[in-house]
Amino acid sequence: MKRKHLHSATGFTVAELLVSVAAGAFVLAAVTLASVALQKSFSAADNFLGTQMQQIRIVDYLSRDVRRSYIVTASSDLKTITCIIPNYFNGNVRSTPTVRTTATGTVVSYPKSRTVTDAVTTSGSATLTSSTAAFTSADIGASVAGVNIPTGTTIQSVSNSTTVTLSADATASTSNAMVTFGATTVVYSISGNSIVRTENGVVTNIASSTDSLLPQTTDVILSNTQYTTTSITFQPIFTSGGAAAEQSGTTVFATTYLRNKRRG
Amino acid sequence: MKKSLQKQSGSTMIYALLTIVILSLIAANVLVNSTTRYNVSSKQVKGWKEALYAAEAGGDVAFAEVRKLVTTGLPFSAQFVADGWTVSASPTPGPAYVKGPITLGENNSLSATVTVDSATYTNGYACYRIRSVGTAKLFGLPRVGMDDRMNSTTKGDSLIRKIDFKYDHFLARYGDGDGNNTTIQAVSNPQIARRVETVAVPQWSFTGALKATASFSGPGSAGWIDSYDSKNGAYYFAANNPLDPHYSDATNGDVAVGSSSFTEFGPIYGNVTTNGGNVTHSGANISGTIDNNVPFSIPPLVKPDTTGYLPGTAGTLNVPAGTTPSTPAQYVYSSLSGGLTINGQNVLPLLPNGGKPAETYVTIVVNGDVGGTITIEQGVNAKIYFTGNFSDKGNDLVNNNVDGATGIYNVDGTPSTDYSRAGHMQFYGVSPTDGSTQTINITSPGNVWATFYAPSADLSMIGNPDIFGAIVCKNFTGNGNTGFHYDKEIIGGIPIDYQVASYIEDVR
Repeated sequence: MKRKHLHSATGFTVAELLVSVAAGAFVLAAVTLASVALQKSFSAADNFLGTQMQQIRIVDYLSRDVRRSYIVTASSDLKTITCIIPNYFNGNVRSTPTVRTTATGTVVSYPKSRTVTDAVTTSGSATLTSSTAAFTSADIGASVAGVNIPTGTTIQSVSNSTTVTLSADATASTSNAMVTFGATTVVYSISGNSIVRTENGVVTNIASSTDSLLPQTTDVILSNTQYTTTSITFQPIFTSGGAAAEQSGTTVFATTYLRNKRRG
Repeated sequence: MKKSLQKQSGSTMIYALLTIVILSLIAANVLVNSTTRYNVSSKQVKGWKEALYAAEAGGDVAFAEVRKLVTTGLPFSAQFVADGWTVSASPTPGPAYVKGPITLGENNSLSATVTVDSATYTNGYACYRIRSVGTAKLFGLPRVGMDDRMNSTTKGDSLIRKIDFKYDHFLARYGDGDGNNTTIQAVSNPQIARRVETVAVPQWSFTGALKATASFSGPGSAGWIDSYDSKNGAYYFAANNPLDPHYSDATNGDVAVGSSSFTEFGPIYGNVTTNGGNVTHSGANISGTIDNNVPFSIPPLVKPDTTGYLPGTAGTLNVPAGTTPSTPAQYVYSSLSGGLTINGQNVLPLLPNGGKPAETYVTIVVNGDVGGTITIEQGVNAKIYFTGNFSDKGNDLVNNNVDGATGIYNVDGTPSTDYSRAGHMQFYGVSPTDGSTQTINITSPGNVWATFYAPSADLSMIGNPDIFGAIVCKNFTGNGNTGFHYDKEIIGGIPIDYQVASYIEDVR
């Protein structure tokens, strides 16, 4: 009985100690690894959700602007989108539109972004004429948007009430073309890790991620309508399926029709 | 030995429990954060889209009301008041009418308020500006913790969506939208509001040369159908000469038939469409394209509301000064079989071209038949509605205007740009309410410079009259030497429906 008591008072044997320390270390390592893995998982999930929200925000921005555009053009690499939007505001006041009935349809214009239907351009020339435009010196710098006029063109000088010189040459000759002057120009483009929206020169960062956010927009023009299709992907932190598979799995699609289609 | 083992298992359990607790806490933290972010984000996205749906639903309600103007024949104010819209103080000068908030969605989370006013005119008819505000309440969305900045530490949560967490930001900064009546107004729940403005414009009665909803038989074997542009002066035949400078204006004598019933006698210099016909170029003399799969229908024409119209004087009608396309002089007749001469106004003496004929506008509603000699003097623009039948010789319809508007001026003395002679004399056959068919007969001798819009009428040309203008009817028949020459300057007429021609979103 006494011997038994003495035995129970002794510490662990060396073997027991080694086993228990090994077991403890193993458990500690497992906990540490699990903790690190979960932190990574949390970070990846958080990042995924955050980037996904930015995808949706890009879609929302693009849809809003394309829907109210006269004209939308996509660059050849599909990464830069230019929207020509009615210039609705005069300061903080909403403008009253003017409506004209023409042989090709009804044209609604706002005072700061008027539209003519009799524009004449010559291929390779920067001269534009319109008998109804009533150009004044106040038009210098105004945007010019229409068929066969390069994106981003502005009025460089005003010769008289019917003739102006553009900042770029027309790409083809046209007569009785529908052209809009003074509209708001909005450009979506990729700048480093960010997607930026530039409205009349004012830049807004609408999305930013190190996950290679990649919006691509195609501009589809049919005889009686126009729409854009956009796909946005990103490269998530998870890599188990390989980079390409992971990226394609994040695609968000959107299709938006122009409500103010004007291509002359 | 057995006792010792029991002690060791107790230690292991503690380890295991601690491990489970730590891992569970980490996992719970992941889930809570992810779920919170997801819920917040999904509410934003859902609210943003639903607010637009609500705004567009409000716009649709208003557009449907605008379209009723055609079917009821009521004026703008009467139509909207009759359907329960209330007068709106904004926008000025009005009149403007408002409906809402119209609630919709789960738990009435969505609402739309829509305002309509006649902002502007084209061809003398009002266009309707429709402003709709759609609001989506975001139930359960935290009122703090979001940011509209987009940088390394913020997520740009409300960058585009402009969520009103506690106060309506739009009312506070922009008031009615034009900076008037700004006010701080608390919101019961976080919300997103989107504002859409559309403009409803008329769809015109004349959009082409000749439309017959039921059948076409013509032109006369010795006649033809072609077109011209009165801006270039009087008509001459150029449709067979590609070298003629006006050749391109001469081959738009398009014929559209709303059925398969198409019979051709003389040449048609234009396109032909039917609904199920078997028209081909073989054996036919049609210069343009042929499409046998173009269905269309034209709604009945409703008599205008004649409230406020004056009784017309017999024999001669002198249109007073001050008329415009949107404010014509208005008269009502019980019949017009005894003939009528309509005189207009001249440019005031002290203005340029003083004493010369000025553009003058008159609308006449005839509650019966039309016949006898009808003369309109230079400058007179007459729209004549009739509920009965129409029968006249070509030379009984005397239109003293000229193609090209030579010698005709606006009231301020500037040259008129209403080039179309035919466009100055417009006849509108009101569809019989009993479903019967109206008749319009034009016989020899003489030609006619006028337009006819009578979607429920059989229009017959007998003998050798030619019509210069535009025609819409139910059944068209032309025999003998009859021909038709469409004037491309005729753009408009009267509204037969409305369409949305502009879409703006107020993104402030």
